[in-house]
Amino acid sequence: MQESKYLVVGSSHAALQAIIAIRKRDVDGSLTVLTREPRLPYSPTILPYIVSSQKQPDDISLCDEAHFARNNVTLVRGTTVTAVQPDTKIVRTGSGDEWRYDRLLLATGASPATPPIPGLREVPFHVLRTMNDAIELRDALRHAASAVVIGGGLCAMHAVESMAKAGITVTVVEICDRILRECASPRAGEMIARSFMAEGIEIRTNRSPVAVAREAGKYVVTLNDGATIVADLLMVAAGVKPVTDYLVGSGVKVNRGIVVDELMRTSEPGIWAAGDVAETPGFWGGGVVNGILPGAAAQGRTAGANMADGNGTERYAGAIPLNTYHFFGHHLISVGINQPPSEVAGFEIHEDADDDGYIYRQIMLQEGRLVGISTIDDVFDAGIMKHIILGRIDLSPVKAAFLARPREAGRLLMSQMWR
Amino acid sequence: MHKGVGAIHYQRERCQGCLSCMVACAQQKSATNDITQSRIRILMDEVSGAFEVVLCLQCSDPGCVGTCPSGALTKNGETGVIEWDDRRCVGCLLCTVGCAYAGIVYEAEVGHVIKCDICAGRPACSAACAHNALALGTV
Repeated sequence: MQESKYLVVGSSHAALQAIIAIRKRDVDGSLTVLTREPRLPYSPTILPYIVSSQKQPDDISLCDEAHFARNNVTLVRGTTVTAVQPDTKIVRTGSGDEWRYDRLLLATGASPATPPIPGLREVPFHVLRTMNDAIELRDALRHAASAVVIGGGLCAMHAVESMAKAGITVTVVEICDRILRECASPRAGEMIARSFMAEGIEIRTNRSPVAVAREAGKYVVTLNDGATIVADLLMVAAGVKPVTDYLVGSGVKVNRGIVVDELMRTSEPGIWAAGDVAETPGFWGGGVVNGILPGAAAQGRTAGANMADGNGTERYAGAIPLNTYHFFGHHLISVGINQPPSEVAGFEIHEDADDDGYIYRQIMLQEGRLVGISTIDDVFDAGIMKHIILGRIDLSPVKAAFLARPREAGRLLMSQMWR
Repeated sequence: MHKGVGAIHYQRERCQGCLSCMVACAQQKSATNDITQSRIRILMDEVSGAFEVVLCLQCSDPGCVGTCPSGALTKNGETGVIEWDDRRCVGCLLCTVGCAYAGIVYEAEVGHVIKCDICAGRPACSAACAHNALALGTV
């Protein structure tokens, strides 16, 4: 039996931020990180850049062994947690080891969801969540002439761009009426889709695959409209699901993710969760599995602070969407919501698009307060807008200036707020 | 842990809004007189007439570093400066989500993020300020 005052499971953004937050408050309490990854910590967000060969796997580590040594942290790589026992405060690993903890952070992330498409589980296919996935996909691009991608979210579209740039003929199948729902308004999504189509990429929305088969070395994907797509390569990017299998029978409450409060506490004393595995309070209510990097970092920070302090001073402000996306030389930035929920009234939407010049801006207000801003090629300071939303700053006195020049107005507001 | 040193301290009451600091920074960092390339920005509130500053605070617990997916941003433990490595940067702009102060911002003209690096301890902005409104300080 090994022991650690702080035991952190996972090694990406949430875990790394938690470590910093703990060490800020407790310099010498024993701290151990268990990670299933054999590699040094990396971000899932970097993986598309590995697929495109813009970066090499060893060039993008978030930190090195020296970082852990400097912070007096033991890093145990290649270890999967298989069970958690809150009553005895013991974690069991795949290799049969047992770790006793005083305070445990679960930051085990998410893994690709496999949609229930007949035949899919019987064939090999690509996903993009780990470094190995990225390396396999990168290498496969060298041998494929055609690809079909199931899913039209950020992960999918990043990979699609790399495929197209590698000279591959790509078809995207999206079950919803538009791609990039999570980060783009309908109009922005349309503009982005046009960019992809101009590069020869086919996007089929409102379609779902009903069968997947492998015939004569090719994938055959049948859609619900009867069409079939034949391709050399199949990628499935239909969302992710939190990794919680090791919690079965533990008593730790799992809904869509591990349910936590604004202090990142789970239902069991002594256990916190953060990052893509966590279902946190949403800024506008409800429970949210946000699955975005800035959210993971903020949650990790909050969890670490509360694990070390225990006085609950660090509170998570609540999840809001925060996305940046670079495609074919263009930048989409989206902070907050991009479409008002249909059941809620009182939204004021200011949308301004120049289709030819390829510039887009949407600002959404509710009762004078910012609830969402998104742009294409009209870059703003995302962190400032995030704080304007989270601070529920009343923009009424500066509304005209804000709508006309959000970047400048935001900077002035920020500077006055933080003075 | 990191030392919180290295930020440029702005004294509002001394600032005359001459923007010499911005010109000096743009010249130093981008070899141009185009002040949009300045890493320090002096703004004026047109209603109150007050000056405000927008600048990297070289935070001791930097949000930009925590949201960078490529390890391109690091806090230098000796100087306190948050260093940006262009070879590692992938241009994703997530650092701008992590910063609440617009201390690291995207500049379309150069096609990447820019931020103050205190000019290796001899900031051009401070040297150019005739009113002693800018000085290297501890935060």
